Amino acid sequence: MPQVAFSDSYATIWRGKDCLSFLDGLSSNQVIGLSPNRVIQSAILDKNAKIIDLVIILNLGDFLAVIGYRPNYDAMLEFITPKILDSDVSISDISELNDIAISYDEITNIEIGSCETISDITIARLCENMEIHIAAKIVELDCEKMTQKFHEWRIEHQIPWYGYEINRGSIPYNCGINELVHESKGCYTGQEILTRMRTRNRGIKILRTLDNSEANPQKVSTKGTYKSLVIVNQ
Amino acid sequence: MDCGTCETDTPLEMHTPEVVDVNLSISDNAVKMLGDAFGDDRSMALLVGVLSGGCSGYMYDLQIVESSDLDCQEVIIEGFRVLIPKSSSHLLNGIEIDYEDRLMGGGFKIVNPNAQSSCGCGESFS
Repeated sequence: MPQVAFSDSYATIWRGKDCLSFLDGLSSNQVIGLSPNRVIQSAILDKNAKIIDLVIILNLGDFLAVIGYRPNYDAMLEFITPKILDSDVSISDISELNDIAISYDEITNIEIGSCETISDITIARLCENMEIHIAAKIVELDCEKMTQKFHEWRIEHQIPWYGYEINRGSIPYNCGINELVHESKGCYTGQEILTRMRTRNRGIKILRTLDNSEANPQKVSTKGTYKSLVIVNQ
Repeated sequence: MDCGTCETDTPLEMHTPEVVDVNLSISDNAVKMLGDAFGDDRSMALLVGVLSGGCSGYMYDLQIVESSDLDCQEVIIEGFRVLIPKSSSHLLNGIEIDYEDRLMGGGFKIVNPNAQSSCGCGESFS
């Protein structure tokens, strides 16, 4: 099973009874109601619906594990911590204690959207063909550095990634994470703008895989050897 | 996964805003509506709080309560007890509580000089 290190990630532990509702109010997907041993991705947005970070949230029973993109970490904390107010939310950074890897293509038989711990490795299946693996550093995950092979696979399967399609300041509808915007969950930060885009069908873009010869270089977000990911109008 | 519980479970230092003495006012319309809601019973209080979320990042939270578990400032305005959680005081200083009598979108409104923007329904601000 191909596995690459997600070395530019951070891992945090969130404790407290208000964690799910707090995250739900500040991000695009429906986080509230996330059951133990389930995982979801959600974009933390500012009031202009611009991405502060795309986080992977694992409900591990006693606490949540929230994984995100290290370059967005400070901005994420700066955005969320003033909003905790009287909420029962406590956050610890456990990045130094754990390694995180992305497993793709040939994966385990864990149900999509579930997570479980097997041989000291917490595995969360994000979608059909991709998982995130988290393990204490002592376990030593067997993975390569982030390789071009992974990006070639992403291009083929139209998987957006941090630093390529998903950038701070992007709008979820413009970077290939359209399905991570819940359409009926109610108010959350940035929701008015996304709803307006959707109802007026304006500015919504999708990811496409095109041969390099067909792709407009200005619209290419990930360039592969023969094909590229491009962000185009719907 | 190592959740850090056994070793370095040190929560990140959270933002602790300055607690300010809140000045607030209540419009005549709101005084009338509060009078209707409270009747002659002045043991109850209006809790004006702030929650995270909403379209703009923060949401107002109005409740009629007898007391609160939150650490609150209590002010008496027009004979009504108003409770303001200290953690939200920096966001609520200077507000006016108004009441709009309209079929759609009516109800209590907060006019907040600290808000840089607010959402269409007026319940959320940043």
